[in-house]
Amino acid sequence: MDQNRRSFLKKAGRTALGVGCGFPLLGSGCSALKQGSTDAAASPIQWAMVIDVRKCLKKEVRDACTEACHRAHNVPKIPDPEEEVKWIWTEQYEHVFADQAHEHTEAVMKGAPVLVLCNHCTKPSCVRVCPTRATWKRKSDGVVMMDMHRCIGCRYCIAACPYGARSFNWRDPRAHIARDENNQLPSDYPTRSKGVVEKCNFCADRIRLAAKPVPACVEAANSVPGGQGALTFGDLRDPDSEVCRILNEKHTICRRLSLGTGPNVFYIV
Amino acid sequence: MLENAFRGGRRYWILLGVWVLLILLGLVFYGQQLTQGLTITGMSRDVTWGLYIAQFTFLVGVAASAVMVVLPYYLHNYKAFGKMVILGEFLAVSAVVMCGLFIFVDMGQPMRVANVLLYPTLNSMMFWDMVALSGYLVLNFVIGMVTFDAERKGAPAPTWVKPLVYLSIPWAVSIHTVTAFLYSGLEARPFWMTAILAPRFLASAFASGPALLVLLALILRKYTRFDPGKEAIQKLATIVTYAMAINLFFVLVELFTALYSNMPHHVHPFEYLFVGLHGHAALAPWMWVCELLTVGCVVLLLVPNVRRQEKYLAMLCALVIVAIWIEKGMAMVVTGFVPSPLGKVTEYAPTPPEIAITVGVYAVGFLVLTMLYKMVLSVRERLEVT
Amino acid sequence: MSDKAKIGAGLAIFVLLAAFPIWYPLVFGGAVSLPEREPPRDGSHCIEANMVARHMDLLNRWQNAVVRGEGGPQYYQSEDYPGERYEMSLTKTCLKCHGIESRTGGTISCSECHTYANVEIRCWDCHLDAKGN
Repeated sequence: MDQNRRSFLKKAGRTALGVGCGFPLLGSGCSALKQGSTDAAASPIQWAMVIDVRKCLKKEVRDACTEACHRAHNVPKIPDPEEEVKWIWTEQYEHVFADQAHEHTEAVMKGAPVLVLCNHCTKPSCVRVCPTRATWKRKSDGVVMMDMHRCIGCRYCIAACPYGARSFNWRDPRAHIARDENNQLPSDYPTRSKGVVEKCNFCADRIRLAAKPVPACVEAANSVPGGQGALTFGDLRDPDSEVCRILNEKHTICRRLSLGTGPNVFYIV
Repeated sequence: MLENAFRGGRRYWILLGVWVLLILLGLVFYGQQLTQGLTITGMSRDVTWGLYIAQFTFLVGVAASAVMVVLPYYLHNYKAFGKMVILGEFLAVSAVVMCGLFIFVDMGQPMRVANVLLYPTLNSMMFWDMVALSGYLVLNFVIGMVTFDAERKGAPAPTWVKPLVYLSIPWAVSIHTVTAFLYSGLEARPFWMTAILAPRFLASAFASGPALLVLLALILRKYTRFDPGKEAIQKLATIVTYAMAINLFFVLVELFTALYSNMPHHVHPFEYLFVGLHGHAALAPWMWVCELLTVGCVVLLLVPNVRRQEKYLAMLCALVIVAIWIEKGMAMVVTGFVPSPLGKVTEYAPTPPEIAITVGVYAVGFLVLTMLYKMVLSVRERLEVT
Repeated sequence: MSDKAKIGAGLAIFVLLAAFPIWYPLVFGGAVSLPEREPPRDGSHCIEANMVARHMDLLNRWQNAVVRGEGGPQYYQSEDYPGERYEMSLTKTCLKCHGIESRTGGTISCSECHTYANVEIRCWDCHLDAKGN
C-alpha cells in the first residue's frame, strides 16, 4: 500500500473513531448537564413521619407496623440474619440515638425498642452518590424513591446511608416471601430480583392513589388497641397537618442530625 | 508488534497456561455468583463491600504509580528510567483492567453496567471514577504502544504523544484521588471521612507500585535478557522508601487524631482494627503484622547499604506490597463498615468462591501484563541484535 | 483427495450447517408456528394497533412515567383509538388482558410470543400477576 493511501486510511479511521465515540459522549455530557441539582428545592409537599416512641414500646404496635409493611410490599424474610431485608424494624434506643443516649438516660428509654426506617432525608446522601440515579428524591413530594429497573447493585447508597436503612438482595428473594394457604404472595406489589437495593418508600404507590394518604405501617399501628397515634404521617408543608401540629407542640428528636442529611422522621421520646 | 505476545518459548506458554487455568476457575465461580447472587460471598447487610472493592482500591494505587516513572523521565529528563517507563505504563494498563473487572464482579446487576454511561450522574463520585479510570486506561495504552512502536522503529515518537504524556501525569494523581473521594465524602462513615484519605492513598500507591515494578524488573532480569539498569532500580527503591515513610507518618497522624480526641466515632474503628470491638477482633493480627512490616520496611529501607543489596531490596519490596495490601486491600474497606450505623459489629471474611473469583481477576491482569511485557522484551531483544 | 473434491466437501458441510434451522424441523418435526393473535374476547380492542411493534415502547414509556414520575395515577391516551384512555400499569392494564404464561385473559399470553421469538424477558423476576402469583 502506498504511503498516501495508508495515511488517508489512518486519518479516516481516527476520525470515525472520534465521531463514533465523540457523539455519544457529547450526548451523555449534555444529558448530564441537564440534570437539576439533587438538593430538594422546596417541593410542594414533603412527607414526614412522627413516631411516638413511648406508644411504640408495646410489642403489638411495632409488630403490626413491620408486618403490615413487609406484607404490603412482599418483603422477604431471609433466614440468614446477616442478609436480612427489612424496610421498618426495631432497634435499641442506644443504637438509634447514639448521640443522645448517655449513662443516665431515663429508665423507660434505657434499652427501649425504637422503630427505624428510611428517613426520606431532605439532603439524602444515598441520592448524592448513586451513579445511575436509580434512587432520587421525588420533586413533587420529597419521597426518596427507588427504581428497581435501573439499580446496578453497586451498593454505594448503602455505604452512604448514615441510618442503615437500606437492604441489598444478596439472593433471589422470592423463595423467602411467606405465602398464604393458597400459595399466594401477600400482595401483588412487584417483588425485587437479586442484585438490587431496596428500602422503605413511604408507601409511594399507596399514597399516590389515596385521598387520605396513609402508609401501611401508620394504618396498622393506628388499628392496634393502644397504638392510636403511635405513628403519624403528613405533609410538613401543610401547616394544618397533624405532623406539623405535633412537631409544634411536642419536643422531637431526629437521628444523627449533626450529619446534615435533614431526616424527615421525627421521634417523640 | 502485538504478535510477539503470541510467540514464545515453553516457559512463556506454561506461564500463560497457568493464568488461563486460574481465569477459568474464576469464571466457574463467577457463573455460580451470577446464578445464586452475591450471597456466595462473605458480604452482609452491614458489610456491603468486601474483597472485590478492596482489591479495586489497592489496584487503583498500583495503576497510579506509573506516574512515578513517567514524571522523572518525561518532565525531568531522568534518562536512567529509559528502559523502565514502558514497564510502568503497561503495569498501569494491567492494573486498570483488573480494577474494572473487580467493579464488574462486585455488581449485583452486571448486565446493567451500561446504565452508568446511559444515565451519567455528575454528583456521583462513582461516575467520575469510571470516567477517570477509563480515560487512564486509554491514555496509558495509547502512550505505551505509540512510544514503544517508535522505539522499535528507532524513530522519535510522534509529537502528538507528548501532550498525552503530560496529561497522564495529573491524570494518574486524579484516579486515586477520585477513588479516595468515593470514600472520604461519606458522612455516614467516620473512618473514611478524613481529608487525609486521598494523600494516604497516594502515598501507599507510590510505595506499593514502584515496589512491584522493582520486583518485576528483578524477575525479568533473572529470567530474560532484560536489564533496566542498577540506577533505575535504586531510584525506584528510593521512591518506595520515602513514599512508605510518608505513608507511615500519615498512619500515625490518623491514629493521633482519633485516639487523642477520644471521640467514640473516631476511636471505635481503630479500636476494632488493633484490639477488637465488642469481642470481635478478626482483623487485629493482620493489622499488627501490617504495621510492624511498615515500620520495619521503612527503617530498613532507609539504610542505603540495605537498599543497595538487591536480595534484601527484593524482600523488602515484597513486604512493602504485603503491608500495603493488608492496609488497603483488606483493612480499609471493611473497617468503614465497623461499627455499622446502628452500632453493631459484623465481621467479614471472604468465602472460597469469592477468593476464586478474585484470583481469576488477578490472573486476567497478570495475563495482560505477561503478554505486554513479552512484546516489549521480544522487540528489545531483536533491537539489541541488530 | 484433489483440491476440487476438498472444496466441494467443505462447501457441502458449510451449506448443511448454515441451513440447519431450515432442514432440521422439516426432517425431525417440532416446528412451532406463529402464535395465533386473536382480538380481545369481549369485543374491545388492543391499546394500539400493531402491539407487537409498539408494546416495548409503551412499556418503557409507562415504566418511566409511573416509576420515575411525580406520583399520582398516570393515564395514557391511545393514538390509534383517540378518546380511549388507559391507566399506565403493567399489573392493572396489561395483565388485565394478557396472562403471563397462559391465555387466562383470552388474549395471547406474553410467554407464547416470547417463547416463539426466543426473546428472554426478565419482567416476571419481579412483576406479578394481578392476583398475586
